Order: sequence, then C-alpha cells, then structure tokens
Amino acid sequence: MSKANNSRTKTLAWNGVKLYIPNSWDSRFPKNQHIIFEKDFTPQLQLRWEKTKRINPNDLRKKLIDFSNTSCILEADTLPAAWSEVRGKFDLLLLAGKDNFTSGIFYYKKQKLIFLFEVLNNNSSALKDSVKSITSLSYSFQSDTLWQFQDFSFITPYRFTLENYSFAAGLTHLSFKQADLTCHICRLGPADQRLEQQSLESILETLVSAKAVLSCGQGNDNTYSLKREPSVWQQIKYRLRRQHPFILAEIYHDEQYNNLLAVVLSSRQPITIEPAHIFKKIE
Amino acid sequence: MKFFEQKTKQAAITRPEALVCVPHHSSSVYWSEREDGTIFIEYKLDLKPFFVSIVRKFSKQPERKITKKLQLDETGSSVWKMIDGRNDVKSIIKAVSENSGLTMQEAEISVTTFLRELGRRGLIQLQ
Repeated sequence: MSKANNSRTKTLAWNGVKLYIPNSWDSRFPKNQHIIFEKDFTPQLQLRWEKTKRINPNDLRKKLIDFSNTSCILEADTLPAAWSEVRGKFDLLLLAGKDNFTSGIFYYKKQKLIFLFEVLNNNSSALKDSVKSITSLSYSFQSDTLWQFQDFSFITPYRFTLENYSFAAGLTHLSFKQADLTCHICRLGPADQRLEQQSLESILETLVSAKAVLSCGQGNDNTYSLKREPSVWQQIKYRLRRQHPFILAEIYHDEQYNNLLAVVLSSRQPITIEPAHIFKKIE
Repeated sequence: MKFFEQKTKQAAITRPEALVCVPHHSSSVYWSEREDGTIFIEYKLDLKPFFVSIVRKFSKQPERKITKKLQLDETGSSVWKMIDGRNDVKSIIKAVSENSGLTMQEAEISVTTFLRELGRRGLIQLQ
C-alpha cells in the first residue's frame, strides 16, 4: 500500500471513501459501507456511511442517538477544540457520548451522504489518530472510484456497484456490476508459490472457467489475457444457457508485492472497458 | 423427562476472547517432526460405542486401537510447533503473517480455520 502524505500514514480507499490511517492500523470490512480499524487486533475506530434522500438535522440527531446509545449530544457550535478541523470540513458535525464524546455523525449536504463514526479506543493517542483520519476523509462522487487496501489498489469506472466480496488466505475477491456488465477482481498470493505449480495462463483459465475462448495473448512475461467474442448464433446459445457470451480477462504478476492480480469482465454486450485501466499504477 | 430436555447450547466465543486463547496439544496425540520439517500426527479415532460394540461382536481378532494419521504442510507444521501452551492465538497469527507474507486479515482467516479443524479432530485444546 502506498504511503500517503508522510511515512507514518497509509491510504485506505474502500467503496468511494478514501482516508489516511496510521501505518499500524489494519482494516476490516464487515459490510459494503462499514469499516472497522484495528491496531494489534484492538478496535480503534469504526466508520459507516449511507446515502439518504433528505438531510434533516433532527433525523441526524435521532440516528446518532440510536447509534451511540446515548442522548447526550454536542451541537456543532459547542464541539471540543480537538474536533474543530473535522467540523470545518463537513457540512455538519454532531458528537455524542456518555463520558467522552467518541461517537459522531457528519454529512455532505450536496451529495446527501451521511457518515457515522465511533472511536472505540478511549486513550488519547487513539483519539488523536482517529480525529486525523476522519479529517483526511474524502469521497469520490460521480467519478472513477479508487480502491486501495491490503497491498494492492485498482480503479473501478464510474457506476460500478460493489455486489460481493470475500477475503480468504491468499485470495481476495470482489465482484462489481454495471447494467449488463459483471466484473470480478481477484488478488492471489503469494505469486511465487502459485507460479511454481501453474502458469499464468492456466491460472487465468481456471478463474475464467469458460470454454471456447476464441483468442488469447501474452503482453509480456508478467501479463496474460483471454477474450471471447462469439458469433451471433453462439451468442444466442450462450444466452439460452443464461451465460454471458462476451468475456475479457487479464492477469498481472505484481512482482513488487508478490501478488497475481486478475480482472474478469463478462457481459451480454461487447465489452468496451480496457482491463489495463483498472490496475493502472496509483501514485 | 430427560428425553425432552433441550440441549443447552454453549455460548459462542467472541472474536476478542478467541484471540487471547492459548492452544495446546491434546495429551492423547502422538506427533513427530520429519526430516523435511513437516509434522506427522497420529491420533486415536473416537468411534461411537454402537459401532465399537458391533465390531467387537462380529470380529474374531483382538480389539485394536483405530488411529488416524495426518501429515501437515509447511505452514501447518510451523503453526503446530507454535502451539506450545504459551503462545496465544494472536501471536500465532502475527508470526504467520510475518513469515508467510500474508496480510493480517488473511493470516487470521488461515490460522483460525486451521485451529478450528484441529479442535474438531480433538488434536488441540484451548485455554
């Protein structure tokens, strides 16, 4: 994962949200729009977000009360000094808590997006790190979405919706959908052990698990691609079998992090997205 | 009546509780390290008394212990060696993450799945 503005933090980007977190933090993703940050398996901060049709301050207060399980709320103009930077960045910030104000809600008014957060570790350095992380938060609206977690990163085109994801030892898999198009992104590691047993070509064929691939190609030693563009009659056959006739897949060997990164696109229509754009280098 | 008694379900252990548990080898397990560093385990297979009684009834040969043999791979062997009654699950996960280059999340999934399988076979116990 690339280091951010200084060497003590790293970038995390998940489902539109991007923020800088301390290097010692790990992240877990219980849901599409829910992140829990941990340090040494101790939860530090949790962040949730959701889109809403209307922003009503009273609804926000009620949401915060339900989330934090307390009725003690600090309004925007009475926030402690530590939160002043966060307050200046978002359209509204409310804090809640029993002894310490460690839960909060803020929103982007124009984009109708609500964020709920809770600082789970009460010590002063964890609170300071949490405030800095929340202050660094940004969200990508109506543009390509950056994903950066574990040790790889990729960009999904605008309007790709996260459908499913799973984390297993050596295999991270995310699937996206945009209208007819389905996109599967996989990270397989460690690459050296996998390439000892199988070639890049056979690994990609296993991932695609599609027959009658019409053309294939190897860009260089570290990439391999597969394509299926059937004729009209074959398209009808595939559609009758409820399969996507068009497939475009690529696999890359990331030598820096010893990973294999694969993207598999399938659709009922010809695919116009270039897989190379998805894994372009993030600076 | 005992027949209608509901079995009390054991409360599921939470993740923080599981991470501080200390695993140790079961006393009835025999294991050895081979020349290549992998671990070979032999353990007694617990059959239900009903099947044991059938075998005893119809078998003319003297009753012998039925054991199962298991050979662990490199990663499994290194985790097995760390199960010494002193390392908790958290430190095993950290060590696996550092040695194998997996992320912490991947190491956690891998180690906990492995420990769960060892526990299911009765090879380890958690304190």
